[in-house]
Amino acid sequence: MISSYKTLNRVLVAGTAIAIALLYLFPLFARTTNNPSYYLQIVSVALCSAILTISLNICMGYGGLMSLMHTGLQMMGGYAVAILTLNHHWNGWLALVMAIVVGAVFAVLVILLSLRATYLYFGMITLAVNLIAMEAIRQGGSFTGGYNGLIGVMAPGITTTMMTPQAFYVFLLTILIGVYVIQRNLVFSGFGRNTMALRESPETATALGISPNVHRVKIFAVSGALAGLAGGLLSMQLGYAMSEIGDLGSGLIFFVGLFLGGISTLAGPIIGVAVVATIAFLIRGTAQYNTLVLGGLLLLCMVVLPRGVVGMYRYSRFGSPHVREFDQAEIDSFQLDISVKDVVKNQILLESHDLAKHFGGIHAVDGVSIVFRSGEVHGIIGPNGSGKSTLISCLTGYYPLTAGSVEILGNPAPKKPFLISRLGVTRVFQIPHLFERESVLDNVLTGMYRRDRYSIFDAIFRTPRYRKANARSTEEARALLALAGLLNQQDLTAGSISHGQKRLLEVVRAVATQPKILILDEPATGLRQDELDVLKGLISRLAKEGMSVVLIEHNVDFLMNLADIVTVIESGKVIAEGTPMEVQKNEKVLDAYLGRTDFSKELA
Amino acid sequence: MDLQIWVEGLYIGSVYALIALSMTVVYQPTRIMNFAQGEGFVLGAAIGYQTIGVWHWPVWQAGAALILLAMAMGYVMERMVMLPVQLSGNRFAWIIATLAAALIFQSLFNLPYANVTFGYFEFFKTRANIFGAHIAMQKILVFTFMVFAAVFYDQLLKRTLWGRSIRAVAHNNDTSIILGIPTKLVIKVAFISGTVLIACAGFLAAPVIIVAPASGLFFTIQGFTAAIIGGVGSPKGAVAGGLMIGILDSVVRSSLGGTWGVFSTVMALALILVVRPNGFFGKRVVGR
Amino acid sequence: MIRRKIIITALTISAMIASTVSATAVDRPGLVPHSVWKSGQAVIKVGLIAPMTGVFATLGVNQRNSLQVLADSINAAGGIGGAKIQIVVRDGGLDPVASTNAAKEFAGDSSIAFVMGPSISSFYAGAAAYYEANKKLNCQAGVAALDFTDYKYGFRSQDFFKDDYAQELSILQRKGVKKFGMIYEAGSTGIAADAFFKDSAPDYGLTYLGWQVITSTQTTHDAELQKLINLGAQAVDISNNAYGAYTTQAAADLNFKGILFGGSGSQNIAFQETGGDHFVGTLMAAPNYQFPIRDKSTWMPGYKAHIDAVVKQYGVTTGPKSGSTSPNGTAIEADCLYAFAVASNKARSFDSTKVRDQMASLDIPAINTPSGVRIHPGTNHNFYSADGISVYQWFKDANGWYTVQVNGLAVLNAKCTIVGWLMHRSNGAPLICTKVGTNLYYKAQSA
Repeated sequence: MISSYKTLNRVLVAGTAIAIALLYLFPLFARTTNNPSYYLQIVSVALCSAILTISLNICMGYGGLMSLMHTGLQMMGGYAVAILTLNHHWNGWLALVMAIVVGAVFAVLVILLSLRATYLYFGMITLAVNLIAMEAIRQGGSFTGGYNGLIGVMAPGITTTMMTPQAFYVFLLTILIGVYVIQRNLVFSGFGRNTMALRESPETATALGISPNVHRVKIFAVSGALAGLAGGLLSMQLGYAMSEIGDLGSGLIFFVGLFLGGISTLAGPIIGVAVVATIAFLIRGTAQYNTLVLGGLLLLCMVVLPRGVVGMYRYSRFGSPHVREFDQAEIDSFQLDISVKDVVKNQILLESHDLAKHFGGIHAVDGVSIVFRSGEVHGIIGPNGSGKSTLISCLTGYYPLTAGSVEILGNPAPKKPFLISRLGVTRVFQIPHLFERESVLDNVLTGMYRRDRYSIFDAIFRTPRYRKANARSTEEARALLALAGLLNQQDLTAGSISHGQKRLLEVVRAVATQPKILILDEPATGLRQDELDVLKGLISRLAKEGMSVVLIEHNVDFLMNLADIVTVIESGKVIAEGTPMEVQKNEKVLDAYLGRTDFSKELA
Repeated sequence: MDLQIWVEGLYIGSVYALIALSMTVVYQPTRIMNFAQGEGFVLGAAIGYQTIGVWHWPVWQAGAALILLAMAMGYVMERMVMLPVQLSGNRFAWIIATLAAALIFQSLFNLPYANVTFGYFEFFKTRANIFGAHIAMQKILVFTFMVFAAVFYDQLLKRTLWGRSIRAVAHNNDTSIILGIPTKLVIKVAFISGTVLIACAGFLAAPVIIVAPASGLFFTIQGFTAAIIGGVGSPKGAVAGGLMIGILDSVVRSSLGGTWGVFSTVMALALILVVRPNGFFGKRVVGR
Repeated sequence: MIRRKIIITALTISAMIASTVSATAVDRPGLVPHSVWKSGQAVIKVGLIAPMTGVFATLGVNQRNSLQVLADSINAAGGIGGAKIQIVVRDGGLDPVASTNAAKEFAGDSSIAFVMGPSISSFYAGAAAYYEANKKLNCQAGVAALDFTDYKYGFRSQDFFKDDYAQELSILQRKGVKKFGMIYEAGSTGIAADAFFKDSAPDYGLTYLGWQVITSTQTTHDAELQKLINLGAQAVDISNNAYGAYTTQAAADLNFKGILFGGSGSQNIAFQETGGDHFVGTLMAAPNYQFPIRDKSTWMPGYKAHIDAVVKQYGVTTGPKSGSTSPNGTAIEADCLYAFAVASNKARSFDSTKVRDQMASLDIPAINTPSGVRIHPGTNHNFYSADGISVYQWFKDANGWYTVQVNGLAVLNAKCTIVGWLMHRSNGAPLICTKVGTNLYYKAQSA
């Protein structure tokens, strides 16, 4: 299996190398055909389309942002080049740079205005913006050439005034490869992981301290910049800028290419555009039946290859990740310092005063004062619906408070969940919230987000700073996985591991954020005994290292063995607090739960 | 300002509201905004043109043909859209599946009818005079149909078991399967009834609005805008959104001029979503 | 019957005067161009780029139909220089990239001798550079806004909008109209027409009330028309595209009593469908559109032959309300191919420069061309000159819609050079080219 995997991998690498070489030599092949300039043109246009589709993939595939304005961004990039070179006689290279800037700035403006709109609504805003941009260009008078557009755009020159079409083709191909590398570097960086985390589960991502808005703005800016670049290049290839370039209908090729190739895959956009461009070339003689054939083929492809070419490969036996086996010595060799810094023993890390949360007439939390100290495992129990999870949501900023206050490290708690998380309060949800399509290792790396001290540019260009930080993070993540016995699963997707492993992985990912307070909501549910032992060991170790671990648990056995202090909640109020022994003997607790078989059974 | 302008806006708005409403019918259980929905509108107009206009069938007979063909189209559309969407698992797959379906239907309409606009005689040739504004009875018919359809669907959702099933499917597909709700049937029925609704709208409106074989996508976008402004998934929102863009477009165009009409609707959309990110009556939409 | 009669007459007459008049076989009225040379090729390919799908599909489909009919009849008569015409169609949709790609394909393909399209002004402007660079002869029937003197290899077989409007304004003046406005979609044609009206309205003693801009996203023009009515408009220029039907509908909605006028777009039966009785009296300027004229014997022979063939092969579109019909083929598009065939025959070659030179110097009389308009490109590469424009007025009676020509003689431009040529007066009375003494004159046929 391993050898066949390696063979296949070699075949793929060799195939890619040959394909790239052939593409570079394409102008020579084209020369032997009966219509060299035409074949060069359609492949050059396809290269521009591939760049735009990568930009769309970054935005929709990885960022999860539905954009219907990429054709508009492409149009604006084209106009930036056309206006600057034709009306202002700029150098073509500088104009291309400006196309990138225009794309990025426009994208940032749009997303800043619509940060509150999500998913479908955001998509609709982008559609509206696209229409407005096209209309504005058409009303631009001599500045934009109005309805006729601007004609006479030229490719920039190196020594001459203008490159030959062949040279421009080679330039386009090189840019495409560069854009592919940018995409890959971005996706594999901490920034990329966080963005995907936000796409998969905004709730969990914010619990790990990731700011949704900052990431959305950044990812959209990168996508906009690349779309502007694609548009600038396209206008040079075609020789004009025209408002119809922005029409969503003409942009169908990008969506189709993205899905046929495989959305959220690196090579998908390129392969997809290649397939669509080939189809368009082959059916160009069908005239009246053109869109019918295209639409039919499209649906057929979606049924036969629902995840796209690359996506299907990934899901097939051949494309699944290679699992690396570590031996025990290797696992033991990982050294890890997880001690909590800047904290003294028994320090009050978080406290609430008379905290209340009412939903209409329901008093879910009704005046709770609670204190979490360092080095302590703090259990919270109570029957279903007693307000445990609501309390946690209040403490971590997911619900605004009705009354009372929360202090973290002696200061009033900030309002946003990700800001609370950044102060060292990390929450693990009751229902598994893993980033299921990402690998186990990437899940842990996402938790290390705040330790990455490199910018998006470091990531894109793989600067030494990025390389150093990335190597360190990966090493630490592996050490954490070793601690939870998950090292051998590091390359599997998080969705494919067992339930128990998922729960452990969540805890590991939370630990990776280096929290001072770790809040676990029923982590033991559904775990096998061996997995319970690992979890227990992990929690004890964390508390010993100075962390405050808060455990909300139904499994009383598990809790009583582990907790230093237990708080019992009933109907949104604290009815008892003390060591496990004290609580188990507490009359009030037993009185309150007399006749409630579920709870008394658990207590017994 | 002339009352006529407002009345016209109200009528056009009711057409958009009907389209938005039929999109809501499909959206409720599937969470899909169907880009091919406007093709149903064209189908209704095309059937009216062929049967009443060319073959001179009586209206009831044409209506029967309309319902049958619209049901067939709804069924085919459901297969064309849901099959790829279910197989793909990507939350954006619906965009491409519904666009492909729209492309196919548009081409099919264009093949025999490229030169045609689907107009035919109005059912009622009289005009009503409302405080000096003249309005064709046919337009009042369209408006009335819209009101009935909206109230009917709203009550269906709120008061019937079937309506609760639709909402359950929308809320959580897996749970509803466990609860014994026939999820697949609910989705099929949604596509079929949504298509019948919009085809009826096209059939009734074609004599008083210009529908060409390729106008489907235009009507889809208008319905889309209306639905989003009102809040996706809400029948009330569809009506409010439709009437709002209809009137806004009509009033702005007559006071400021044509290009401002487009700007105003689109700007209104952008502004409303910036201020109220989930539309007027909408709940937060989370991706599939 | 009539066609055969004309052919026989023409054949006899031209045979009689062949020695004195330098007429080649191609100049016979109502006949397809006939070649007397051998190209040595079995097939000659011509390209068409037009929207065959989507919102403007009707444009491309009707162009293709018209070309196919003419190609079939030329092929039946032996082709051009023995080569059979093959039409290669590319769908440009409304996508500039698809149109540009197709233009580049045809420009670089040496087996394509002649190209028509892309049929949208801005798309053509983008594609023309390729044609010029590759010396690819091309002809455009859907490019209203550009100046063709700039193109060495580009020709236009379309009426120039200023020529249309000049004729119509003078008719409005005669009818006593004082104020008029325009309802037109935003676009290059609208902008140019607005500028023309601003400049020229005073020359005709008219007050121009301005341009009500419409867009593709609206479904009624009531508000626009109402504003012009409030300003006292007695006439309104309507769009040449399908959007014009919304204006005619508004005329019906608002009971507009004035005159609507526009270009050949009013051929679209949707205009009569939506306008109903309010479309009566509408002026339409067009190169030649005799289809609604009931007495077919008055039709230009070439036009009649072409349109009859189009109707036979592709049928007509009928409006259910109005009963009005229009042929499913655009005659002016066939003029491109017709001129190409004639010019190639004259050049005895498919070499683009040689054919171009012949095409520029063509003077094909109106009775011969598929459109019924004289083709006389000259240096500005416009097939039709101002006097080739006819203005028709729409009327309706118990038998349906019909038009009457209202701008003097139909074919003032068609010089009487060959005995037997036909033409007709505005009232439909047929005329025939007759020799009187040493000069040739048009005389009433009965005479």
